[in-house]
Amino acid sequence: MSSSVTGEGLRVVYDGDPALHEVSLKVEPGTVTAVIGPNGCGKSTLLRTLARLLKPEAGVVTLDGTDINRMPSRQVAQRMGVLPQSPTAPDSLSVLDLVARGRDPHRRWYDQWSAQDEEISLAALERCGLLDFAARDLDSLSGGQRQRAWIAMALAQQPRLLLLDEPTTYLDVVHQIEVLDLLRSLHAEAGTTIVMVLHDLTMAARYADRLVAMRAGKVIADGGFAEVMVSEVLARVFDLDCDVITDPRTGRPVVLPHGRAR
Amino acid sequence: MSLSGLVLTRAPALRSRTVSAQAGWLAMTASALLLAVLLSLAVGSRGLIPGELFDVVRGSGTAEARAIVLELRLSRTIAAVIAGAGLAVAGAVIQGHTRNPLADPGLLGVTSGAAVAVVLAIFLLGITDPAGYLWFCLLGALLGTVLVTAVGLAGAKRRDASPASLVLAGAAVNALLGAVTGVMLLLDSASLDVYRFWTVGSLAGGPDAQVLAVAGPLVLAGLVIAIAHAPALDSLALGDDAAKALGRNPLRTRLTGLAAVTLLVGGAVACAGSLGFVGLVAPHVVRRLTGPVHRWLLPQCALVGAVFVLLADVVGRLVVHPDELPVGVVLGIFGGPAFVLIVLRFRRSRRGR
Amino acid sequence: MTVPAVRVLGVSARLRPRYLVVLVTGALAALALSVVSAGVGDYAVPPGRVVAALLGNGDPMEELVVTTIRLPRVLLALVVGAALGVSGAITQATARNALASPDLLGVTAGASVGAVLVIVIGGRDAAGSGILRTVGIPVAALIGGTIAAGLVLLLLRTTGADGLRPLLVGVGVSAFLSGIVSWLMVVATINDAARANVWLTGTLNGRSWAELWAAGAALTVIALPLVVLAPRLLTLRLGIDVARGLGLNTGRTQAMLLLAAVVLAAATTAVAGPIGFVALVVPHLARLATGSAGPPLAASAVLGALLLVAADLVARTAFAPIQIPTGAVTAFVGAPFLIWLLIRNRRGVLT
Repeated sequence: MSSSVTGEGLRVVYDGDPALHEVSLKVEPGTVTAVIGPNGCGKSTLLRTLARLLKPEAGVVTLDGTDINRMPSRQVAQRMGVLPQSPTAPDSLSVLDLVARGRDPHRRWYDQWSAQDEEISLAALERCGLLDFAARDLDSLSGGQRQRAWIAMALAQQPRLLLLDEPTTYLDVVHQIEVLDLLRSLHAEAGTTIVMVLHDLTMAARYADRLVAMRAGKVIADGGFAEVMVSEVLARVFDLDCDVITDPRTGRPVVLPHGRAR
Repeated sequence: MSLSGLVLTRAPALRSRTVSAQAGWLAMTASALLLAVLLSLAVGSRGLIPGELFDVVRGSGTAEARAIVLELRLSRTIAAVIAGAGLAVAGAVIQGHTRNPLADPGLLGVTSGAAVAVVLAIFLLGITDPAGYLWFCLLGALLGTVLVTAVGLAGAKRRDASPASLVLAGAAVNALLGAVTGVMLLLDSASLDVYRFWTVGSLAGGPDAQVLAVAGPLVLAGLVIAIAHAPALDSLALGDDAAKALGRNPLRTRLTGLAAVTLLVGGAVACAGSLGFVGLVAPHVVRRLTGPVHRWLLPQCALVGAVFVLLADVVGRLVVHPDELPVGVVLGIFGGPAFVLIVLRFRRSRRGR
Repeated sequence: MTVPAVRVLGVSARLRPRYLVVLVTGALAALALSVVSAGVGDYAVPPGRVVAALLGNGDPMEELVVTTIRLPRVLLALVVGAALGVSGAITQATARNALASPDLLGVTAGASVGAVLVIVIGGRDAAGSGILRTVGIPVAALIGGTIAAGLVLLLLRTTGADGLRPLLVGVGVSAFLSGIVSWLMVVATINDAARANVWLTGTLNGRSWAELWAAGAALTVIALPLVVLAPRLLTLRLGIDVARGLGLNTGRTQAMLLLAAVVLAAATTAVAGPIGFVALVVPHLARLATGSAGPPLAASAVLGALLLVAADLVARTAFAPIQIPTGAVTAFVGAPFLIWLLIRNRRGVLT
């Protein structure tokens, strides 16, 4: 099952500086979207606004057609999983205890931990390849494993829509691929709608169907990789001189920045 | 609802293994509590042998033994349990909410609010009997928290009483209330004479049944609220963003936590005066058994806190026999070094891992 | 934006304008209050004549009152306030915890045991109480504070000065010593308890040049290494790993900083008793006022001095002719200011 999320005329202001200028974005159900752009362009702000972590000054975010800020937060969390940027956990929290939190939206405070909760949490762990690490402390995992543990928590929410803020930051290339492959297969199996902020342009072009390029709080380009991953657009978005070639194996674009090194 | 593609192929019963481990710890501390309660009923200037005590518990026994247990020791034992459980759980809740392991239950102004009200009652109205200033104590506790919460809310950037803002608000309001208390005590040594016994924390003589009848339900209500909001507190420990993503309302969770702390500390302080140490230290000790998950941490804190205070009270009755050391003094003099040992030992075991 | 560079004692620091404004206004306010404070009392001297008396060309009687009687107390307030502010800022920065204060490291509790012991034992000995009161209490407090701090630091040798552990050890040691103080307070006669309570509140009453020289000498000795250590504090604030990467011996630096904080607190407690609130709250005041990310040392010193001079002035005049202990007033003067700063804080210093 997949959900759609739409932002309409979103404006967000930080300490007097506008971070989003009337941004509108419609994410269709069952699609994979990557938001790209230079640091400070508002891409994280956009994601956080869609995730109702920020309340916009103007504009509406709707989840499956309903204003997200008027829905009970618990109900939103039953459909939408969010992975914040560099999340923190208390010392010596176990992986399973973290993932179990993902069942929160489905339980009332008086509900006991049920066999179904247990099964879903363990299935989420298994899906992320962490079943053998369930009893380990989160601190003792590698960066890639830790990131997958947080994704497993979001999966335990059984979301129809996943919003991820830079899920591959700090990960080496192997772990980046691992996390993105995982997201892609979730999408393939369950049709989960995915919106993520990514820094690596080549990865974004490889794993997303749709790319949204932002700069200074505005959407500059929006479309498939063939429309967005072209050197003229990238020059406008990043002020970056680059060539874009095609990966012969996947047919997806690869960005080669000019730089000055030889 | 469908499992959204999540199908488990092999199912180790991990969670139930944690549950049984945690339940094991709980059973252990529960038996320790039972033992401490029996000790507290038996030990004193006229000690009872186990046989005598069991007779009383069964409803028989000599008139003398019955009088000692039921009239002298039962009420102080109940008070110790209430105060210990209340302060330890409040400490864990407040440390969780402020994300600061140095926070103590008094941080939110409950204790200093109660102290101001008690001293006012002594100073202005000449009330010297604990049952008399019970309501002042509770009202002061409530006003203290309300004040801290109001300042904390006003100070936080997004009006969500962020931990940093709460900590500072607590420090400021506590200092102010403490100064009011201090000046009254400096101006009036008769107030000091009553207050110095209240502030050290003492169970001597056993609190009034009326005090227990009010404080007990308050602490119990606080316990229920605290344990009910434990899952929300656990989500909040992942950061406000993650908590919101999980459908929690951070502000509502914090206000619930504040309410629980007010009830717990208000009740505890009414029973035993402003006992220090337990609330700050018990959560650190318990976390070593249970880990950071509040669902387990809080009930365990209730048991361990009660054991701490009971044992301190028993030791206080023994060491300067036939006199008594106030329970607050014993907690500091014996508990302090014991806590240092725990901190140092933990370091070693961690390094060895 | 231009950032003025300030060069003091060969150590240059680049200060943001707002920081500079806080430092200068704070220092000027402290100076003005000092002049006022030196003039106020039974024998009132207007501010203009206070300045004249200080410069040595005033009325002899006024010179006597101002320089011999009131000046040491005013200067002591400045010195003690500055020392407590710095001590608190160091502790909070080193432990990276907003609730850390040197009190938690056992100094205050140790000093209190020493002083209260002398008061309670000496109080029963009428003949000895005179000498014990003037000499015995500060010495006993210094000994008690030093022993306690030494104990904590000794325990730190086995644990390392890293993170929270020193403070948790301090909490344990302080609990032990406070237990003794509480017990002494309960067994004492009410008169002794009242006198002990005055000492435990912290006061500058009746302090003279002797205390000022003693405290001044001790604090100067500690202030010198701090000039070297202070920049390292900025590095430490970036986190242990980054500081190590920048070539800092973090363990030793943290231990030395904590030692400095402890000695500052011990010296001030010996002369003025455990004046509360300043060490815990002044670094926060400084942080909110300057908008800096961590507790700033220089601003903490200036604001600490200002707060204590103001508090001492209130303590001397509020209930005149009765002088209440300075420590009872610091919170009245400082807490509303902190609450005001907190409420108008929109800059997001608190994250």
